[in-house]
Amino acid sequence: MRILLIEDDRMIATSLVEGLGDEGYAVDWVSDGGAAIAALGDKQADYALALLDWGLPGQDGIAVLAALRKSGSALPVLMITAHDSLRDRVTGLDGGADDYLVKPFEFEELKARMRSLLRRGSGRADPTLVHGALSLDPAKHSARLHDTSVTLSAREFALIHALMERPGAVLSRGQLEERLYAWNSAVESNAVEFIIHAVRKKLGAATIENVRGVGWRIGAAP
Amino acid sequence: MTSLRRRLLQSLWLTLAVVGLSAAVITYFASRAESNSLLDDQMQHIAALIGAQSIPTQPEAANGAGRGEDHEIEDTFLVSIRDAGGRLLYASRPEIVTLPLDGLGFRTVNLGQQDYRIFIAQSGARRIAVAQQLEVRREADALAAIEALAPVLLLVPVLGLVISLVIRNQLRPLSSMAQLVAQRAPLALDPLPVTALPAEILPLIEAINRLLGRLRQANELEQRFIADAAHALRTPLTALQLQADVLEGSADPARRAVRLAELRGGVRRTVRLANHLLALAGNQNADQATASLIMLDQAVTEVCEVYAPIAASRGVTLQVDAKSRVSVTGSMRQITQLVGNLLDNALRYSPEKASIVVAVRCEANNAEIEITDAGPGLPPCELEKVFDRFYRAPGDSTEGGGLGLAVVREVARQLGGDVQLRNRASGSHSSASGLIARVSLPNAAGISSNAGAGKTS
Repeated sequence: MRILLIEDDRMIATSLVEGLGDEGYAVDWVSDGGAAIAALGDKQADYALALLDWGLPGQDGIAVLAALRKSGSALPVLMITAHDSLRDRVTGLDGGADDYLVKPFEFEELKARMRSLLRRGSGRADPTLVHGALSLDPAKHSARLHDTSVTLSAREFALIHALMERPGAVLSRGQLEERLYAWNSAVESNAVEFIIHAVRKKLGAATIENVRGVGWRIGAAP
Repeated sequence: MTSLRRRLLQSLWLTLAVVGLSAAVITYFASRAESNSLLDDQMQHIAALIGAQSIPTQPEAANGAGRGEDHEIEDTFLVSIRDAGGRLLYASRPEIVTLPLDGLGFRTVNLGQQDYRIFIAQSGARRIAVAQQLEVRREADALAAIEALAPVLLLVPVLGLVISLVIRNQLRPLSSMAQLVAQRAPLALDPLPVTALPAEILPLIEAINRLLGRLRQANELEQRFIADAAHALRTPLTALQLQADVLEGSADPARRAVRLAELRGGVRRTVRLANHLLALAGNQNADQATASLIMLDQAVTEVCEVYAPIAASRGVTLQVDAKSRVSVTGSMRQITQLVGNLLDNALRYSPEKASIVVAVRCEANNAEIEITDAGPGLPPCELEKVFDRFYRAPGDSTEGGGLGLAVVREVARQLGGDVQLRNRASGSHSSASGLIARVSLPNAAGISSNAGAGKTS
């Protein structure tokens, strides 16, 4: 799951990149409004969510949001900001933000709000992803197969999560890499295959189906 | 507590009492005297009347005549008439047979047990004596006096009441103002109404309103500072919260160590912000109490010695040029804040292998500290703005709270001086970039000599 973090405070951004990385998110970080608009305009990136700070050097968060919505993007945006007045919150939400979190906040709450936005963004209300006997709980990062829990690494979970989110859709290697790795991570050429191999070993070979020359999709329901 | 109303009432009542009493006494004696002379007039009148009548010529025959017809006169006045030979022609009452007739005019005589006021007049051959008991006269005098006194005695309390009512009425604006002030919310600082106030109170209320205005201004500044401070604390606190959360979630010891170091960095940043806020909150009194003569060159060198290892760890050279002996009045804490914050900034923006030059100079009446860094400098329009509290230049991604320079300016002004920034390469085509911060402080002693050479640490 690739997300864009727009935050000008280095310490906050570093912690978020690391903490969200631990959760299996691929986080791209920009620290000013101009870079944010450029990153959001990059169609290749395929972000699932943007975390947007209000106070940014250059163009502020509201301007970034306006530019994003004007471009027709429906990308879920969670504003994280120290502006906590009612007027600010209303301005943020009416400006096109999907949710609003006031600093300082607990990491747990941020993650829960992100999951909620991602769930809604994919048109679901049920927090658990179910495909036959396989179910994923994004909050606990746990997978269950035939009522037995299976331990997955953050990347493995992110990969199966990406495939299960849109059953039937085929995701290319590039698309999967986009979702699993942030800009600055060095991706080995066969990294995706390596993760797929690991997932198949844990959940069964039929879980992920290869579409030759195109990519992968979730297999028939186990 | 002195009450204006009570004092007014007291003094007015006292005046009224004194005036009333004096008026009463004067009236009393005046009306007595008047009554006395009136009675004397009456006696003369009676004597004249009797003199004009041709009544009894026969001695004794007329004795007791007219009794019963002239009761009133009899009751108050006694009349006896004698002829030239001294024979009694008439006596209105038997007891006055003995009324003496020697001498003319008024006098007081004692007849039997009673004192009498007597008037003797010569009318042709007759001598007429008219007498009146002194006691009766005194009673009449007193009665007349009391009658004259009554309006005065009645007027005094009425006047007193009127005075107290008038005072109360006139002081009503004061008491209603007092009530208004008493009913105000404890923190209400809006001006008091000045309509319908007497001219004597208006200046007071206007002065109070000016004071309230200054308080309101100070209060607004403080509120804004607190709001800004709370806002400024959010960023480092958010970082701390996240750093702790992320640290908790990492199992790998190596990563934990890195994250712990980040957390410590976050704590340091928060502490620095708190110190800046404290400095700005105006700890001036404490500094003024400990103010002394400080050798600026030594003080600056000491601060630089503290910063030298930090500079070295970043590969930056700190060069101190403090040849001029110059002193300022202040506290060491202030000099440390001043130089420390400027060095913090210089170090933050200087690239590796750069050198920062700190110079202490004595210029005219000023002691000057100049810190030159090798950073990128600032656009000219930002040179003043960066002193604003919580201001951060666009594109500045270093982790400052936006308060360091505000603190420097605050402290410089506390010391009676100021601080200015300028770009190093301004005007020239020199490739050397950097920012020069110049602090000018009043020179306390004016001693200046060139002793020793600059040293490098």
